[in-house]
Amino acid sequence: MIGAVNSVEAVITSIQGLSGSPEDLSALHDLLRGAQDSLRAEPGVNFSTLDQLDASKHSLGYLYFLEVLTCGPVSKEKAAYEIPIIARFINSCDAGQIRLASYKFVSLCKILKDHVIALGDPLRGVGPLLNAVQKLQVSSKRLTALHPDVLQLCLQAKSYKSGFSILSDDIVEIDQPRDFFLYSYYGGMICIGLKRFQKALELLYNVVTAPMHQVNAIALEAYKKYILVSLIHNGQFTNTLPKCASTAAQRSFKNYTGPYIELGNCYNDGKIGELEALVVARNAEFEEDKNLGLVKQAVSSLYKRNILRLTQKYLTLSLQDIANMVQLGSAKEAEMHVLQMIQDGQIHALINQKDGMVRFLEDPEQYKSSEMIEIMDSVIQRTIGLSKNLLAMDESLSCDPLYLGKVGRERQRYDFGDDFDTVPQKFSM
Amino acid sequence: MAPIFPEEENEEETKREMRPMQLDMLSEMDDAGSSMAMDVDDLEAMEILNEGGLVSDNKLADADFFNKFDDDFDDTDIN
Repeated sequence: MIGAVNSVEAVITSIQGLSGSPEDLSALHDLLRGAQDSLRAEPGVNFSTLDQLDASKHSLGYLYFLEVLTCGPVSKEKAAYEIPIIARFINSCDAGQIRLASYKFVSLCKILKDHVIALGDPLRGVGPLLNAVQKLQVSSKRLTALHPDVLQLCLQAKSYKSGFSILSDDIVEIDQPRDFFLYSYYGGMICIGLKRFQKALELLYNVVTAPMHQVNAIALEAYKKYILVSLIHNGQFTNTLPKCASTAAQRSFKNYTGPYIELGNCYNDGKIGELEALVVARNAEFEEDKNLGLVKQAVSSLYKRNILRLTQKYLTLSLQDIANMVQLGSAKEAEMHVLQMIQDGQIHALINQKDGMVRFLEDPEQYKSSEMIEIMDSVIQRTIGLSKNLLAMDESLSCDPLYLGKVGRERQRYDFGDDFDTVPQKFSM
Repeated sequence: MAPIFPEEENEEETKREMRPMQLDMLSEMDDAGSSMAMDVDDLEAMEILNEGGLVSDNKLADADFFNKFDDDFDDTDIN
């Protein structure tokens, strides 16, 4: 027992002495890796041991101890006790030190996530995990294993604005495909919650068209939502997947998404009565997928689409005429739809309350205001940035031995004559 | 089946003011989906360069992912 306590004390002393320079930290990390099994088995290690350490100065060592103390089966009592301790550590730890043991930091954050879920209080984990992402991320372009966890908690807590804060950067570096699938799918749902449908489409599109050798369940669910959001935002449905989607997706998605494809085709026909009948007939399937709310938004959008078509043909119409033409129940319903469309910027119109007449106006936007110039400049800058990233990735891929080996194998199938050099032998794999 | 845009002639017609005819100089733009990514010329070549073997449809990958969220996207109770 005395020997074991001495061992723990020795580790504590090492942490206190070797948390300064990068060289010391490297030596400390080797020591901690070697000692972690014995620390895990040591009964003398408890939360009061942490009192000898400073979370911000001794973050690496603190992390090792905290992970040992918090691992194991989850219970509500354990969760209630450990959540504030883990959250305080995340908020005060040194980013440089925890990145040395990023896998362990991720593990600790996932324990926090499990704890808040066990307590039924996902919102409690949002702030600390958002902080954790900032500390873990080496670059804003790199996806971490914590991004999906943050978004999951935000969705469960219905804290969509918090989730959106980590969706604005363009992610181009990914370690694990599953993390990317979840990030894009959950991110799409966050944007749907905020009615940022264009951004939702971009994120859902990324997972629908991601490379996959077998049908991926996350991509399937994303495709269902992609169809519905396309109807809501674009007012139309395309039966075929984008050309860049994988063979697995092209061949198999339609087998799993029958009701949604049927809905999309019916929507394209523009007949409200048939669309509503289809929704009733397939209600159980949409409800099981938790997509009934989005389906209802899609039905509502068909009314709006039909009203939009009226604005292209008429300058003025009565609310009753609008209701009759798009098969709404009353002039009052038509007024609600028109008001919502004006508010969303989908149409420009004036409603005369006295005689119930709607006058459709031209879009007043001249695209020459300072705000519009700022928007255009921002989009151009983003495009330039993405283009530079793409060129850098292409250059890097062109030098990748694995890629060159495969290209070399395929090039042998074709006879290009003397116009092309063959790939050097050392890259043939 | 009632058409969406009925053309009945009645006294209400005088209240509807129609837009002047415009020639459609441009063909209808394709949907946003195709403008969001480049077209890939040779899907077969990309498949050749993929690692792994044949595509398997039998099992769904990542079938255990968490998706038990409340359906929070129903707007019908708003307004």
